[in-house]
Amino acid sequence: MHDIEESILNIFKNYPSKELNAEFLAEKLYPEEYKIIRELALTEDKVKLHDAKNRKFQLHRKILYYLNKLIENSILKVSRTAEKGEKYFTLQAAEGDTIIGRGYKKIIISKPTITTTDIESYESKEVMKKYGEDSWINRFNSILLECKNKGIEQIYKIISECITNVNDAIALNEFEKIINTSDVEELKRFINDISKDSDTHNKTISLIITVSETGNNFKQFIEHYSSINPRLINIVFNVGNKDVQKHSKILSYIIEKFSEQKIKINFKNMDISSAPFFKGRAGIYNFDEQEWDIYSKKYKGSIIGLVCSQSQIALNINRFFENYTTDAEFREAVLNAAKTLLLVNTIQRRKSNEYFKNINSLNQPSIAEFYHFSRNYIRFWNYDWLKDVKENDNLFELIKSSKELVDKFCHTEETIFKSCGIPIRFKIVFSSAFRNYDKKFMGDRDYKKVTVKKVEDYYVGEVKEFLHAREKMFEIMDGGDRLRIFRASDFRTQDIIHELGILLNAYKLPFFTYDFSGLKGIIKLTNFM
Amino acid sequence: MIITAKTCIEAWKKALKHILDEGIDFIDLDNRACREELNLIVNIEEPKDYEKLLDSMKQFEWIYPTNEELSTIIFNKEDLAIYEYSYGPRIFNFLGKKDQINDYIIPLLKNDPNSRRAIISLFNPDTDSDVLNKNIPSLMFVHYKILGGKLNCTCFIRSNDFFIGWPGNIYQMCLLQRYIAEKLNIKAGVLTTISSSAHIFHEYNEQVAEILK
Repeated sequence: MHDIEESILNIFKNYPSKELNAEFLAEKLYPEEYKIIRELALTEDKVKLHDAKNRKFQLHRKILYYLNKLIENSILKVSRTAEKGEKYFTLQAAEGDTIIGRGYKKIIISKPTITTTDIESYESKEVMKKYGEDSWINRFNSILLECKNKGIEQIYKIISECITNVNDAIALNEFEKIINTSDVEELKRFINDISKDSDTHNKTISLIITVSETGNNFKQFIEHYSSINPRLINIVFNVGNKDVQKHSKILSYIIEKFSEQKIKINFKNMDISSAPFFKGRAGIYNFDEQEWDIYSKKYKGSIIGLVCSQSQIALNINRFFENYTTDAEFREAVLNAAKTLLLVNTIQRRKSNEYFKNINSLNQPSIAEFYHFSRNYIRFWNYDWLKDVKENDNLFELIKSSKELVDKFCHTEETIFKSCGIPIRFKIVFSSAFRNYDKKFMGDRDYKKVTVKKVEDYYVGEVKEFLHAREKMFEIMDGGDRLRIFRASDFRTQDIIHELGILLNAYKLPFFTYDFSGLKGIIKLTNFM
Repeated sequence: MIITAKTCIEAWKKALKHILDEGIDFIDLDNRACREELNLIVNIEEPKDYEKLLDSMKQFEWIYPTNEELSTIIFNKEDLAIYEYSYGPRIFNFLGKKDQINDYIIPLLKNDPNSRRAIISLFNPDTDSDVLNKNIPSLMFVHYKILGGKLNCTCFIRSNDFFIGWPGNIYQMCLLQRYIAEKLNIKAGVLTTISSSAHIFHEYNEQVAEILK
């Protein structure tokens, strides 16, 4: 084995579960040369810039040669190819594999593995699915980063550090603070950059904006955001009932711009929930209200944010009842998912200093606080599969009783571990899954559409009944849920503002989304949910 | 009350029965009903069956920490970000500067096998004596004493869930006792636990009955 191959493997040994690219490896292998390249790249001199580019290219080519040799020998593999064909590599060797290096020196790979016997049978029937199977131990699903008192460059650096530690979403809380305090051009550049980064890493970034706190730059920000319509960046607008009148101009502007580009508008009802809600690929994420209150009073400001979700499993309810018949089997399945999540958390805990090294260094000295309020998600797909809302009552009860069982399990496990001197936090919340969780696994969504023909419908009959059923589901789904309202193309902005007022005022719906994308002007009804 | 038994299992069963028979019921801060006995001392003369204790806990439907995790928590000197506290760093790297075992207990007992000063502390008043902090160690201190050529160990546990926690505590204490004994080139002797509050939560009555069968 060549020296360089051995050096590459030693780097992988330190990051046994990570995807590494040639740039990362080059920087580790040739720190001096890379320092020069960086310095040259900072100048505006075209010759020096060209030189930097050349040096970097040569260095990468050299490393790629040896990376390919390691792939040929089945030691490494290409895990994915990002934008512009940039390849990411991971270890192909398994836990405990010994690779004989130069001079018969042994390189032993320590890669965490997990037996998931508790859900294997469900997985084989495609009833359950882990999220991001390759990274569900060594990455978090989602984290929240605070924007308050941070400059735009600082927040960008933090995102860059954290993005590889997350397998679904990063939320930027109080993003209006960044909008209000940044130069417009700088802000546009930031949106372009995070849009590019989210594409490269295939991660979602959710910007949380409190409408009443927005300032001068806001319209330009909305204009720019809607014009580029970034694929993996979404915005959640925090609104309260009073904002509908007070900030109707801003809301109208958002609705106008977003609907033109068929961008979804997400609203969180601040009157119901003060804790953040945000959107990832897997579904909605949120925090417990009481815990958010503790965080806000005790920890906010001393850490960069919080882990929201550690690991998650989705359960396809429709498919479950094609394979199983009883409620008891359903509860058993949910409990088995909970047991698997506990095992995953156990490994994450043990390896936390290795997996989340960069995040830990950002939170010094209050490292443990970043993990303080994390949860795990069990998400349900097609949970409202029965067309008649009334018949779903049994399903509500089934999910509710499963939740009670899971809560008891979590509490018992926390007590057991704590009694043994292992003070863990282990919480599981329920939520719905998005189709993007895994399109193949999810299949088509089967749900009841409720048509709203006029604003008065919100107060009577089928629509009212439907919304009350959703309120009930929101109560059970302690990990957050969403109501989606599809909107026909021929609407007046004022109608939506009016509807928004009704939804905020008359119903206990913490999170809902206006979707302008699916109708394409062919459906005559005003809107449906 | 002092309970003396030859093995871990025997001591555990005797203690569980004693708490159930003689303890007093009370409701704790988390609204959980339990039966409690104060100042319960348990002597295990030959604690060789410490792994069997863990096996007993694995028969139930819950997930008990693995032997590896229990061992890591006591021997890993690195503070893990995800825990508020951990025993390992407090034993092997107290406040980031003191290895209480390798830099104190072992040299002390090597130098003076009759010493009565071989004590390690896991309680840190600087962080733990905080009215709002509920997450503090239960294991407060451990005392080692060589007697009859064997290393005896006495540990003080302020709050001891005797059904759920004690088997894990014994496993960890036995590992540590054996680690030190090996370094001193002697055998491990008696293991004593002093539990200021030894309790059993009523929610586990069914499982306790199963153990006592």
